[in-house]
Amino acid sequence: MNSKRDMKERIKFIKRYVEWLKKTPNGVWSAQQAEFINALLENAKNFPLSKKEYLKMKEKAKKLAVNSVFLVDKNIQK
Amino acid sequence: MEGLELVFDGRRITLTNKRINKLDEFVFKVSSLIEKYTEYVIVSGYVSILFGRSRGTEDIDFVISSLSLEEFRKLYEDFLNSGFEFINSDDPVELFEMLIENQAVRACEVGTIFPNAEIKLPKDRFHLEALKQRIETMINDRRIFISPIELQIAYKLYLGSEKDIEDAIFLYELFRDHISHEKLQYWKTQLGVEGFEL
Repeated sequence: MNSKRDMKERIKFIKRYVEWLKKTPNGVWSAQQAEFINALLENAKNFPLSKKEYLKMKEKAKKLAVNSVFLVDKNIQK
Repeated sequence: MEGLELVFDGRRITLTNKRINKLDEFVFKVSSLIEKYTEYVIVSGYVSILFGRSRGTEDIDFVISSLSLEEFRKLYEDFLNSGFEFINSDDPVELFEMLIENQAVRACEVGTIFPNAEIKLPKDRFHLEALKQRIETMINDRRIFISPIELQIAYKLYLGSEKDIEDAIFLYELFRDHISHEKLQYWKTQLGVEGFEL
């Protein structure tokens, strides 16, 4: 239940954020975004993960994602 | 001051005056390498980040057109000479085999893991359509190709995680006055998410 409410809140936030984006010059929003993304990537350098561990983690995540779309998948006409 | 500086004419999107971040730089480097050897289209999370979504991503999905082993070898060498390495293997033949077995190969700058380019051949007709109908996108003076927005929105809804749904809503809200709502409905139906109200 909380998760549903949180999702509703986040969707509301995204809609408000897009309204702000539409009114904001690219130089302004992208400068803020660059600061945020560059900091994330800088921080990621400190994450102690080997290539092998990373691939293993992605494999697990993929399996979980496949399971979560299974019900929708049967409706798809490939 | 003007608001968002974005022009969308259906086949081409132009975004001007964008402050380029490190993720954009990475995408430009990878795109310019791949396009020497084959066609590509960028799908998934980066598409929404490109247009201002405030989130990070660890990988950028590139769907590429098929290429021969020889072409892949050249692409591989070019990546290595440009400061990249592959996460999955150091053997180009093994990487090529992974590709044709519908597995993704991942390229990153030497000594890093994040961000990385997840490079794969089309795994279904949605990927094929994304390639066929890719949208030329100019960011300042750089060109990349991204998935059609309508297909991207529907595919994100299909993937269905909270993050994916948020991306779909972000793109829909941003492009709602520019996209074809008929095309969006078509892709939603094809992907079994026609009941999802945006």
